[in-house]
Amino acid sequence: MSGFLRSFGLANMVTSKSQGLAKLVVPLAGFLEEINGYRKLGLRYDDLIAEESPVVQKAINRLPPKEYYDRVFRIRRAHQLSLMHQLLPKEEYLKPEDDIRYLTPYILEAEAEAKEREYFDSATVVIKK
Amino acid sequence: MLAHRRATSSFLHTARRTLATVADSGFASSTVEGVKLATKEVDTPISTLSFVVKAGSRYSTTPGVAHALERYAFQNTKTRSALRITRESEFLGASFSPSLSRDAIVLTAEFLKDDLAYFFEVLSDVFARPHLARHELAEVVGTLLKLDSTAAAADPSVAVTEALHLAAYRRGLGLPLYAQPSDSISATSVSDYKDIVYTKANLAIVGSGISLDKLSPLVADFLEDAPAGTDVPLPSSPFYAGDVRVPSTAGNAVALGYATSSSAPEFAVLAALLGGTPSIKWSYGSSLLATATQGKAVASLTPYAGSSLFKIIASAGSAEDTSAAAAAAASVLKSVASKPVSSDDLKKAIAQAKFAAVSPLEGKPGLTATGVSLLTTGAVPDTAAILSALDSVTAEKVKSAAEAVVSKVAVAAVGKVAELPYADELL
Repeated sequence: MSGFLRSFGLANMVTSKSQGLAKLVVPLAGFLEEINGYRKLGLRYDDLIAEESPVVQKAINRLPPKEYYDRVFRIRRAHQLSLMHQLLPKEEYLKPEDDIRYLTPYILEAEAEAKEREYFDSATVVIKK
Repeated sequence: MLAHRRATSSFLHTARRTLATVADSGFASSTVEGVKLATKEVDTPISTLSFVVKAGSRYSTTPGVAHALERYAFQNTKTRSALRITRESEFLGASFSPSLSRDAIVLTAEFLKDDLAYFFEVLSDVFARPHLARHELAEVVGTLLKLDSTAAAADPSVAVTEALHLAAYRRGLGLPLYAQPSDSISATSVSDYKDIVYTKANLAIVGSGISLDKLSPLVADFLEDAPAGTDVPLPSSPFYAGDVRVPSTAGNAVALGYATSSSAPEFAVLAALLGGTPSIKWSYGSSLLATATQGKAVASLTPYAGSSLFKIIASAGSAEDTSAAAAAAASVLKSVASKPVSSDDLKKAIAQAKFAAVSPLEGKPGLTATGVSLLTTGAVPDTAAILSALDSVTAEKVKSAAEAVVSKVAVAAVGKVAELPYADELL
């Protein structure tokens, strides 16, 4: 379950090391996020992350109370809109600059912890001669 | 007969022993980069290293915050995670024991002599670079705080000691040692408290089985980025008399207390004279309280920086028996206040007071006591001065100490408070 760490490592590598590739990929990512349509339901990208895993559960529990409340509000509002086959009024669409990755840092932290535990659980002791 | 005579002569020999044979506490001290160091070189395979920080509950900016900071010890730091600290110390063979008193938070590591550099680094990580993450308060630290305060409330003698501190000192030393459920502790308040107290000016590093030459360069290596800070002033701790009563289902206990200035050897002798703590298992001993209450009341003197608390704790199961034990203890105290004790009793009490004063300066508690002394007086405890001060106590001084307690006393009662006595009913 080191998927988040790996994909974020890859994204960091692309944006920091390979300028040419970043110029191609970043606008494409923005375009895909836009046509995905979740912003029209008032959701943020991090609201879409599947929460049925121990790591994400841990991350969600570590959110500050306000962030946690807001997340639940956005998801419930999106459910309601989906049931009514409606979108938010155009002026209430989530703006790209408000699409903050509020959960990702917590997921990465929880995943790094799990990885470290796995490392120590399978570590072998080498005695110096 | 012969055996008896031999025992008597060896007793006399011990009683005649003079101060010259008593060694000092054995600590060598110095100051490196604003950090006070003291070490005792003992030739054992195990070394003990304590970071004594002037951050005990009496310095708390908000109630309970010192307890939370103590329980945050050995959690995640910026350089090492809690898991890494645990597993690496298991690989090397060691034990960590953070502890909290009213005077200090103490971070202690015991380890094999060769691993000094590693454990110094871990302790300085915990001291200078703790993470104090908000989620740790919810997941780990908060549970530990609840555990500690519940365990303390479940023991009537601990609960009554806490209540007695409140009655005697109100604030400062009167603040509860453990975080209470009513305290609002957040990661921010703990972090703010850490910024004030976890600084080089408030730190004393005390070790046993470590040489000062080896310790000094480590301070420059690992504590360079620790904030220098300012010396936290010692809050004044005046003595108030009065009653504090805590209804509880844990059991019944009554405590009488009197706070005195820290160098009051006559109170140490008074506590030893009243006694109550057996020195041998399965007996009450022959002290005044032991004979009067059959071991149900115990007198002691707890030293703090700037003040000492003389206390008698009576606890005997039911509220009726506890009240009777407290009344018996009070009448013993009044009889000591009414006439000077015999010279034999005084000699015995002085010898016991000497032991009680010096034995906490040994071993692991000794590191804490030495650190607190370094932080508050600037010097390691002077064993010879402590012992000679106790030697100079006279029967008349003990009598006036007892008179002082009788005239002004703080009383705490825990349990079925409706049945337990008040201060003016006891004395």
